[in-house]
Amino acid sequence: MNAVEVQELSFSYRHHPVFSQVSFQVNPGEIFCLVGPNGCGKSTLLRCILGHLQPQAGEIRIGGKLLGEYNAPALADQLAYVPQSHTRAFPFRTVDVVAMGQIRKGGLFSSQKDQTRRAMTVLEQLHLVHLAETEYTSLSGGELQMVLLARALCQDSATLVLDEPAAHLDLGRTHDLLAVLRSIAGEQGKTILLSTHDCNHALQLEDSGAAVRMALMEQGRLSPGDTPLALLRSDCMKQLYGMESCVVTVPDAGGRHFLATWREGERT
Amino acid sequence: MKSRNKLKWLAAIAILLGAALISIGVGRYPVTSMEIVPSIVQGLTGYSMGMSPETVAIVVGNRLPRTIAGILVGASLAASGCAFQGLFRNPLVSQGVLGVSSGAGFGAALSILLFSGTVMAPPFAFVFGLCAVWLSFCVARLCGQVTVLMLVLGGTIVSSIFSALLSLLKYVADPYNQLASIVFWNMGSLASVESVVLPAAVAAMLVGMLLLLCSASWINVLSMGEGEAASLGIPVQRARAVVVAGATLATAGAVSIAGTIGWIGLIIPHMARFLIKSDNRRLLPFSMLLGASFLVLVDTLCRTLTGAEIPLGIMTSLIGGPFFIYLLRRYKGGGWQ
Repeated sequence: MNAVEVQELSFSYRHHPVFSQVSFQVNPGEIFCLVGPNGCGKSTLLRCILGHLQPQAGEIRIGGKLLGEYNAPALADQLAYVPQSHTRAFPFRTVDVVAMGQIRKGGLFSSQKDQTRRAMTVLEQLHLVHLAETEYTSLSGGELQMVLLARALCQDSATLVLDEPAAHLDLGRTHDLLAVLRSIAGEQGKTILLSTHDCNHALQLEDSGAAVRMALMEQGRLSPGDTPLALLRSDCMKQLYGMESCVVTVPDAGGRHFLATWREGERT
Repeated sequence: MKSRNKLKWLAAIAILLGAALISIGVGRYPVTSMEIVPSIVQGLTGYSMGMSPETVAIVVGNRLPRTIAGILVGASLAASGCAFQGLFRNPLVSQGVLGVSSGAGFGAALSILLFSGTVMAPPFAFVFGLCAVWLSFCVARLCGQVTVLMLVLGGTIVSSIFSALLSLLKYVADPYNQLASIVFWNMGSLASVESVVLPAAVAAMLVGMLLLLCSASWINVLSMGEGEAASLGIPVQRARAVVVAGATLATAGAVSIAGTIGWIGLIIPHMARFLIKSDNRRLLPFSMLLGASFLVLVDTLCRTLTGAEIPLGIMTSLIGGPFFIYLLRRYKGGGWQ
């Protein structure tokens, strides 16, 4: 049974089509990377899968069941979401924000202590304990992104959906993110669906032993899922970004790297 | 940290009790604080505590209902404002954002024109307050799925329509009696709660506040945005309906007996936020304590400062404004910069 299965999905905002007839599936325990240029519809596709947007046609199955058959708490057992951007309205404490991952399990009279304890465990795992008592409105963009990741981990869902989770992260935090993704996929059997602009993430995750597949999104179409190496061929990338590129193996730098050449005036 | 928070709660409760004692004791017929509790016991149980009948009549028949009404109205307005700020993810909205206040104001004015008096103002205000919120929902639903933005827009539109209708009623009203009543009613007052006991309004406020207290953790999650709230496992539409229903019931109940009192729903939650932070599970009850104390104290000032009563709405702003400026300075914006 697939963790996420999308069939013939089409979505348009009013009369502006975003993507059409997109099909793919994500296997349990797999890391699935969506790659594509800005505005190609990655976020929209993810938000359809999460049920935030209503596609015009097609079918989405989560854990074998149609998306529409889930109620909110049951869907939250299946999917956790790390958004690309987040507007901070009120200065909540960071640990309270992370503990919201457990909100669906809390009844009216249940103790907050268990939720807070679980939130602290996750913050420890991500090396963020020092931020626990801080107001989350004062965090930097990268710290916020890690806190939203922590909230999703705290939710303990079967599948994690991440929309460009590394966009604001520094080198060290990017490493922390990838390490956590690999460990929850490998050791806890969680499924991960993420969109990213950095093709190296897919290579690094695969080099570290994770089961990684990738798909390229372009002009409302999605390529069939394949291994990163198969899709990072120079002709595919040339078509996607209009740039020359190659994948090189650098033993000193721990494995394979995707490199795009940069020459002035050459992007077509 | 923990003990300091406990201290804040104790202080807030103590202030409320003190405010209640002051408001029962102070007035043209002063009652000492030692007489208040025996008088209440004697008045309610009939068991003689040695209090004079006049004192008992003043305390139980006159001041106690007004103080209780003040506590409920203040707590309701603060809780509703707090809940709406969270729901709409906007610290600048107050309990009137969906039109309940302007609807109630119009309803009261209509009853004053129809019945030449304020007797029927509370039920009219209550019903029209609820109608206004229902209309805002209808407007928001016109464009398909109800979103927070559409709700605010609907509320703004409905509010302005009811304000215009209120102006129209003022324009056609008899300027010597009716117009004065309409204007005075819309400035807010607790003066009429002694004569008209309104169990319905009290019930609406209590039910409304209970709904809000129960949905406090939902409000936290809803203030993360609708998509994220849904993905965290909250039934967004239902949660939002419960919060709106709670806040509307509480506000409509409050407005129907006290008139339109602005400011409390906007500013009290901010004061509470400075003191106890943003978690609505603590913020809502704390706002209610502060709102109740604030309204009871301001009402006491209103009826004792001068020979005639000063309208409540005027005093809440005159006192609340400078106090809020002080708080802003004291807490350096409290994480809002």
